[in-house]
Amino acid sequence: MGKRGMSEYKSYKTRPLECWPMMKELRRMHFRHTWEAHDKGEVAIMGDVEWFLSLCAGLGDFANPSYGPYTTGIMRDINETIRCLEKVESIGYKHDICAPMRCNLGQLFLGMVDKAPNGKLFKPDFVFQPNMCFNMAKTGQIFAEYFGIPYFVLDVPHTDTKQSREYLFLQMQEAIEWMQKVTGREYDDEKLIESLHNEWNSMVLWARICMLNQVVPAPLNFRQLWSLRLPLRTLRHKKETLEFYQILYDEVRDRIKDQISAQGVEVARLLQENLPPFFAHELFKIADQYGVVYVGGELPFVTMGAWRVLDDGTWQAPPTLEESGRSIRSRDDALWALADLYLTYNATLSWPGYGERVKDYIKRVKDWHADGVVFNLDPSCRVGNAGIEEAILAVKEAGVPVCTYSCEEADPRTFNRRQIMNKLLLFFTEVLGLTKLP
Amino acid sequence: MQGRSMKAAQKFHEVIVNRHEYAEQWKKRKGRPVFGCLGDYVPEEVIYAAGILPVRVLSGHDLPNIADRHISPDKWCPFCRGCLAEGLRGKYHYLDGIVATLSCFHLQQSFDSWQKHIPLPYSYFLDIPFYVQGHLASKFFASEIEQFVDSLGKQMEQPISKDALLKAIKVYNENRLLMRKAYELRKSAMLRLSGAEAFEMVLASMLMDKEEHNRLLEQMLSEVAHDTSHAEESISLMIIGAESEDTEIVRLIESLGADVVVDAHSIGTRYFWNDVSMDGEPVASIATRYLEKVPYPQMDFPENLGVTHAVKLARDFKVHGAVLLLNAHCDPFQWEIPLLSRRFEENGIPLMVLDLNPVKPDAQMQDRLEAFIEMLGQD
Repeated sequence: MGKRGMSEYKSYKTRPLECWPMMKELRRMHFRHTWEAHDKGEVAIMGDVEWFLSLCAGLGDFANPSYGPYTTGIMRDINETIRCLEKVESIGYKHDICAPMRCNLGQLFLGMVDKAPNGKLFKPDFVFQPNMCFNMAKTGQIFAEYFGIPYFVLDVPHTDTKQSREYLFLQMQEAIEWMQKVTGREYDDEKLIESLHNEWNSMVLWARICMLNQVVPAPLNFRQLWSLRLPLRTLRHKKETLEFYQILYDEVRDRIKDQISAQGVEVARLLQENLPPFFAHELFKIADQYGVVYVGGELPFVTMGAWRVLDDGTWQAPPTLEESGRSIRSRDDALWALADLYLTYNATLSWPGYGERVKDYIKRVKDWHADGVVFNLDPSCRVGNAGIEEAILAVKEAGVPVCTYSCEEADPRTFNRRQIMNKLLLFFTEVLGLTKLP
Repeated sequence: MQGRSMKAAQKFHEVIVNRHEYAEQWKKRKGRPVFGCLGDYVPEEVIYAAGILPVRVLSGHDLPNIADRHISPDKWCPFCRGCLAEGLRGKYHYLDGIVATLSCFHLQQSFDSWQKHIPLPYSYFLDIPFYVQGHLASKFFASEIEQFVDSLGKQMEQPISKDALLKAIKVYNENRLLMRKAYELRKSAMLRLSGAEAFEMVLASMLMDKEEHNRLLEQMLSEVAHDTSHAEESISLMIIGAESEDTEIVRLIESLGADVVVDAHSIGTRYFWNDVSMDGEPVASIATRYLEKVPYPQMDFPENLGVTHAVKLARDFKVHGAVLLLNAHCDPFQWEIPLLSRRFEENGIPLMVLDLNPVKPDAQMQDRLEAFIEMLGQD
């Protein structure tokens, strides 16, 4: 037992995640696939598809390197990130534009995107972009122009109504016709249905895994969640992905049963709202030193999970396709299900209008048993930051300790290390009353 | 145009300066409500058809600090913060309702905070497709407008009839036509409106009862037709930009020896360049008109129609140069800068990007504009 300010803390057991190597292998498989797809006679699709991956799966297996096949590696190398950003800025794109998209464009204009690690040239077949945030749609436009390839935008409405559903459904029908036309391939509805099943159920499992993190001690921390979500980001339509999340879900339940914690010491639980900068691992290391566990936050939860949001702001995992008793037999069945998945069970829909979102922030603190919230007010992310100031006011009014800092998630030049570390230190010690662990 | 006096232009100026008094007097005179509109995708025709005066909520020129705790100055544009600030200051105390669409994430912040901190008897938000070039978008937006028509009818306890919509469309189309005629006059070096006059003409249209504005427009066109003064040959400029009250900038440019002869600006051609079709169902026609208007960069894909429109205007009006008036943190227009610069350069038209000061033009802006105009004069 140790001290936490005036109170005591307890140590817990830790254990490496057994399925971690499986996640790493899925990521490796995804990376290799980009360069192998054409050799295997498969389609390569550019675009931050992420959602609606199963819609493309009717074309057969496909590669989707998003807009930056090397993004993860670049984010690990500050100099390389800055090189990408400066390249874009030299062309005239200014710094208020979404930092990750600027980084993707930097890769493009530096000639990295169209080159495999072995130097072989690569040209995607088309760009497909679900439009939730226009920054992605604008990026897609530039990529399509650069490669001289066709571009399809799937416009995702921001409301869940009969009309918005129909709008999305009709667009998906059109997308299928369009993909057949530009690739000359037959669209296989069976593959769509199978992929939809994987996509839907993987997202439900992710929500359930996030909900398991409500337990004290938290079986996972933010860093783990952020890495573990990656197969969902790019492969949520695949059978291997669903299998992985089932294994992960079972393992996290076992961790809870065995009282395995993410960090060994859990003096305080915090939510991290908005993304922390990808490159600043020290923000988490300093938290470790004070026994602070970041147990989650809106972004890792929402972008990968399917959620049913109740009127009081409670987030719950919805039923799997089988549990819902829904029968998917045809293309139209599958497309209506996709419309449901992304209009009914997608909490990001309310992002542009903060009104409902404020309740969610406060309820999340309660449900995940958080002692406070850390907000990164990333100035380059408008969608993620919609209503954030009002949310902070409301969270504070609810008596929840709040720490804010500002840094672009993908631009190291905006990271004021000393200022941000001092803010966090003061928050841990003066507001939360924590002391450094021995 | 020195010494020229146009009564209609003067009236537009007075309405702009006394916009709140105008709206209050209108309300008293007509005994009807006044609604604020955030952004230029709000289908004003519907509001007008309900017997309500739609007025554009604008940011004014005071520092918007009062809004900072609700909308951070670190990432949101001064215009959206200014709109909320004006509301928080009580300048729009006479409003009976407020309506917005999701055309701009920045303005969406103003709307959300407005709803929370300046509650009004009525507020309405319309979803809008971003993929405006998609052929399915119009039907979806029409359904959104249909619901708005129903909602507003219930609020007013009187359904909005098809006839009322058609009448409103007619008034609005007339307004657009008259403003286009006024812009045509600006092509002529001998007989034209100044840039500041044209800017105020459009701005006043956003604040006035359109029928009253139409009468003043007719008067202005007549006054211009009878004006025998002629302008001296000067540098012709175009301005491009999003929502902001840039009259002072236009005046500054014109005080430096250039004429602003055309624009691709929110308070300009983007507001009135296309009409609502009088054929077919009015709601569907309104939806189509708003989606077919010159798109903002955030809604402009896969084709770059906004840039093409700007280049066409620049060529039609034979401008020597163009100035993009860039609001701080306006990420949509920041996306457009490289392409816009390239297309203008291809057409031999220099483009300058001018970062705006939200309060008023400062000395640095003046220096930059002066240098730009001087450079154009040397070419």
